[in-house]
Amino acid sequence: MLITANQLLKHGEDKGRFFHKEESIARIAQVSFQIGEGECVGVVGESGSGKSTIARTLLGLETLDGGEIKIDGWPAHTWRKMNRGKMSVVFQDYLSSVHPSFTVKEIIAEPMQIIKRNMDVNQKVLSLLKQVRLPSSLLNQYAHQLSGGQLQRVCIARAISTNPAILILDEVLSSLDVSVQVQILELLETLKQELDMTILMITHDLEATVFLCDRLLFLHEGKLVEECKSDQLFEATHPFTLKLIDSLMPFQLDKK
Amino acid sequence: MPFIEIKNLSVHDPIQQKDLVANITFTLHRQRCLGVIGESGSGKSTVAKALIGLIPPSLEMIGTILFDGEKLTSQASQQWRGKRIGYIPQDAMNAFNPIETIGHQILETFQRHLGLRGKEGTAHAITGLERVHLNNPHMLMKKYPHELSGGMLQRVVIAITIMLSPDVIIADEPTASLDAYNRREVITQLQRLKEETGAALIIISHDLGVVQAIADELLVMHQGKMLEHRHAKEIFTSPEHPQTRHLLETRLRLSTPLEALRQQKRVRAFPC
Amino acid sequence: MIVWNQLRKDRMAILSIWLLVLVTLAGLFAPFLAPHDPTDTNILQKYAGVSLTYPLGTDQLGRCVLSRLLYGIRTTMLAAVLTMCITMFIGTILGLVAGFFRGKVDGALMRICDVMLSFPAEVMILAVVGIMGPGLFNIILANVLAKWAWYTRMIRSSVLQYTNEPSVQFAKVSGGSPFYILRKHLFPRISGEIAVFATLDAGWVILNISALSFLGLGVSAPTPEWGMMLNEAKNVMVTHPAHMLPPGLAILFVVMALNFLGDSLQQVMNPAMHLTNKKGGRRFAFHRDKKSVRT
Repeated sequence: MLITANQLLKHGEDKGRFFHKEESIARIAQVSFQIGEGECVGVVGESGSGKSTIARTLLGLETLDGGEIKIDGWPAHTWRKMNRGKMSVVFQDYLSSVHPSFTVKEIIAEPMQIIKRNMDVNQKVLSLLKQVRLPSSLLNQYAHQLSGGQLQRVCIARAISTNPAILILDEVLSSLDVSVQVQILELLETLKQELDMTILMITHDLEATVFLCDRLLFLHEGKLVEECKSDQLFEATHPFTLKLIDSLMPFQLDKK
Repeated sequence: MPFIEIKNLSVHDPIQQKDLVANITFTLHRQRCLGVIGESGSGKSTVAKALIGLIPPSLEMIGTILFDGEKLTSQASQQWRGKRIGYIPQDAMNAFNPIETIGHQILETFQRHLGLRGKEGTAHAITGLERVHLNNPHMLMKKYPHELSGGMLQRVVIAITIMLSPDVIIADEPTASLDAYNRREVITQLQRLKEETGAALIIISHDLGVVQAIADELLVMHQGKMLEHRHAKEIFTSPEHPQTRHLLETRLRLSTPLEALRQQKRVRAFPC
Repeated sequence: MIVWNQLRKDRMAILSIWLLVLVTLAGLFAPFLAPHDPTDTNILQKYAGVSLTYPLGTDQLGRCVLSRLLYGIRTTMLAAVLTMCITMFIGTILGLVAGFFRGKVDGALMRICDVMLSFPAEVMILAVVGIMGPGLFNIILANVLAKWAWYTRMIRSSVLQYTNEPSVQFAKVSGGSPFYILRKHLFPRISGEIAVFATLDAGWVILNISALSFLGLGVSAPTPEWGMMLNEAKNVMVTHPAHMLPPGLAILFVVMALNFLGDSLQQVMNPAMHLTNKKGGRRFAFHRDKKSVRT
């Protein structure tokens, strides 16, 4: 299915005091893009550039002030109602993404229980754990007993449990150690190949996007400034993109 | 003579009955940067807190810490903190009082440690903010912490540290909560700090890319123990311990696709 | 349950729970435990001292103090529990509705709460009782009216806080209905806080009921009630000062136990303050911050 976003606009919060409102900067403005079926697109920008806002409007967690999003020709909110469980998300803060008193089993089973499809939940949970490379001994553990990497994998398992057509990854690596980030990225790459999903990855880390994504969208101060294929990254022209490439601090063993 | 000498530093948690840090020994000279690397839970932050004397009282610490030949006791650490030992925390956003302006808090710090007040203090603060490339320092001083981004707040902390010019600066995961652009800025500032003030710099980080850019020496930690302590280049080219190798390899996998692209570009630019 | 395990480690909490359990049982089994009928007067035996027949002596009408104390538990505790239940019920429903659905409903409710909260609680209680007359039912009504707005506000802010959490947002994204989210996510999360508010406030309610009875606006004689007993004892404060002790100390200990229990529940609810000391006692160990959480 095709996701088309057209001239998206979301105002910032009202600033200023009671009698004199200041102009607020729009969080996103004139953002238009298309995502094809099965594509893995990265939305890259610094903090506050509006990337999370795009994800949240797509998910229906925030409303737009202007513009529209269409999925498969339908308006986004209609599509979401018709296709419950077909769009899922993994958030940055894994600790507060899960109910503190749910066991791992309950966490992963939640989306399936919400849409109440008659499937063998227990079997599915076990196979999901295997898919995210976690041991089944974790089934009855609580969130606070797991490490960051393990918990994020649980969140990923939860997100793919209903075979979503669209998966949104909102800064999923930012709260993890770099060595764990690599493991999660490699897991996501495997899942990308195993499952048939359209993936939207929100991040500020260029290295991670190049790792996983086919195409990149660059966001700066709420506006879409550049689009390119990930293997054409070094042919980018916009000054902001160049600044971002410049800020990279990659790790190389044959340096100097 | 080495500026910092740590001998057999161990921190023990009597409640959980385990050693958070066991037998750490290293030395560091002025104008050198030591990078402390290791996975989460390896004890890196505990070492940082021990150096600055901020270990929680429920933990037991043994071993000697010498700064410029003087032993670090709890009274000494209170006196030296700020003036001689600078600390850049991980989450600078949480290091500020949310109900006071940035300017007020900077001036408060300068007054306490340097005895500067009023116009002098403000001038000092403005110099510091300019040195970390923060625009409009006068406007910035009037703002509250929540009005600035994480990256900017981290740079304010570095500005304060620069202007206090301590002999040792301990930075605990200074770039962990920053985006790519701010990360680069912060590391550049820290490099300049080292070169201009001649301070000894200890950086704790889990990001090897950051460490590679700034560290002269490396200390690799794993589960509280010290695995290797050598020149950074040596460790990067020929790591001895399998755990070190694992750390390097994992980080390398992250950079590989991007570096491959960069190579392709170079090849395309200079075909021969 | 994690809560219970943590609570077990706090000696004060265990002591408080024991005391409250004992008092409740004593009130429930008052007919069996009380040596005499609490309303049995025996003028000849008035102000009798401590003896085997009258373990705590008698009051100005020759009634056994211990028996009145035991039966008084029923009145006081019943009124307090009823008040707490009704107030919590109203506060929870309204707080959940206001916090979850927001918009105009929230706005309207909050304005009503603002009005209610602008009256000092004690004044409002006195006013209600003054208008409607004394009596246990009216006291309960007055207390509910005074406190429901506060609960609604507190619960609403908890709900607001939790609604913004990624876990609830994920449930929304997955297609969870508002009812599902209220039931599975919000209510369990706030139930802990409700328990804390309830225990902390219960003490206040008991004191209120006793105060009203003390002022003569509560239960009518000869119903035994601790506040009433204090009222009667105050009349002979100079000649028989010891008579203030049984009801006074009873109120003191029960309210203290409720306050300590509320305190402990508050600590337990906050995972950052969990006790790791195996032996118990009030010692704190702060968990490491979120970033470095690991097994």
